[in-house]
Amino acid sequence: MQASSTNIEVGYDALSNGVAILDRSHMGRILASGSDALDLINRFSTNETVGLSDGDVVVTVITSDIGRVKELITIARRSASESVIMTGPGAESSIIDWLNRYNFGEDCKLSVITEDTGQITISGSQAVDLEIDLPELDHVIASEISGMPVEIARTSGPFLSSYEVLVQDADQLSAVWDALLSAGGTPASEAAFDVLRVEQGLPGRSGEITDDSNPIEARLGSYISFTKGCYMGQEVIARLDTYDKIQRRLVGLLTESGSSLSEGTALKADDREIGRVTSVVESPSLGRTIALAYVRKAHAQPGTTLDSVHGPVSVTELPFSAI
Amino acid sequence: MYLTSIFRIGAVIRLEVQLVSASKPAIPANTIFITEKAASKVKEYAARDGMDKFGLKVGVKGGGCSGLEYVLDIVDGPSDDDKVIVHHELELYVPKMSYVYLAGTELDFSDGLNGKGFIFKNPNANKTCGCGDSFSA
Repeated sequence: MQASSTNIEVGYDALSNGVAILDRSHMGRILASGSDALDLINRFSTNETVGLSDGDVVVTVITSDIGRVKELITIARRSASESVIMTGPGAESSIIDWLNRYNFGEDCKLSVITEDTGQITISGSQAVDLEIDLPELDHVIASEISGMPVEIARTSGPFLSSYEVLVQDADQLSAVWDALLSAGGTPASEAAFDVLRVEQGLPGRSGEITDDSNPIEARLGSYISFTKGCYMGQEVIARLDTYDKIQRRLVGLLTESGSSLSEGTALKADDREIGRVTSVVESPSLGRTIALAYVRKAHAQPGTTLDSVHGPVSVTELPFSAI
Repeated sequence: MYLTSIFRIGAVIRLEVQLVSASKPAIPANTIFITEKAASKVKEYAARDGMDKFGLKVGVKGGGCSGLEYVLDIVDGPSDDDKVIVHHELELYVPKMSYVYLAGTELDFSDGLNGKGFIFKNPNANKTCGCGDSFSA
């Protein structure tokens, strides 16, 4: 593993105005082989994963039979019969087990390649300064960094806009990291990424994209195709969308200057619990604690004041940087 | 490949899942049954496509709103891992991996303007989606 700066401000500045790098080799990676692999995933996730071209990247959400999030995955298609799937940390086996459970002799083989490979995230407005090959949005390219074979995928979200460098041989991870460092990349911590994420109102894997949430309320609507046809959970998600049945919304919370909040804090209105805080960060640009929270729809209007054990908080528009 | 879409047989084919009615004699759990009407329809489609030697592949695959969906295909013979069942002089080819989800199923046909096409009455289905094409077991 590569050492990243624990100084949030250094990483925050690089993410805002420069180019930040972060070793994310602990995230999950799966090799999907076989001509039916993307078709099978298409039948169990929200976005369209068939009809892609080689080099396409697509984000999709594997859902349960009641339309809840099982896992958010990013697929980078190498060819008609081979793709790399990026997952959350430790999620590989459960995804493979889930999909294999519904594979009745189709040509689809899923293998965990997390330990054999590496992954470095590049983010920030000046990524071009690294002078490496950079793909277009939602594409992946095969390239080299200091002579070492990598694939570089550019994803549109739902997290901070980034390039994911997939190092094909884990033994070369340190060398690729050093090359990016020498080229001007600033090591950033996961905490720095998290501050920018919350400021931009983007969901995270720890608080918002959970098996208790559905993709619409988690602001993952961009990764749902409402025209692709059936997939597991589709009826529920279509009903939530068509009849606006979403019960809660992901909102931003502004604290009063000087006060704090913590994840999991209950939010109340008229002494009734109407939501929970999901992510909390100290925002350098806003100079106070800000948070994301799921709150019931009736209390999600910007400007609404909610109570918490830490004091009153104000519901605000997302992203925060817009205020 | 047996996983060809059900619509390859013809646009008129639609599927519906129903739990077996308690008032009707159950299909033995060690077989899959096709009614005479459904078998006639399969033969009609095969004749229309000029097939002399054929059978009906009946299987399931992962998909649909509930996790599993039915697959029907008219093919010219069984695959190595197919269980072969004969009713009304029609051979049914059932992949062994699908059989556990289909044992005891009756395949019927509903015609007419409001007909539903091919209907699976599957005692293994504990939940079906709204359109009836998908089930969980």
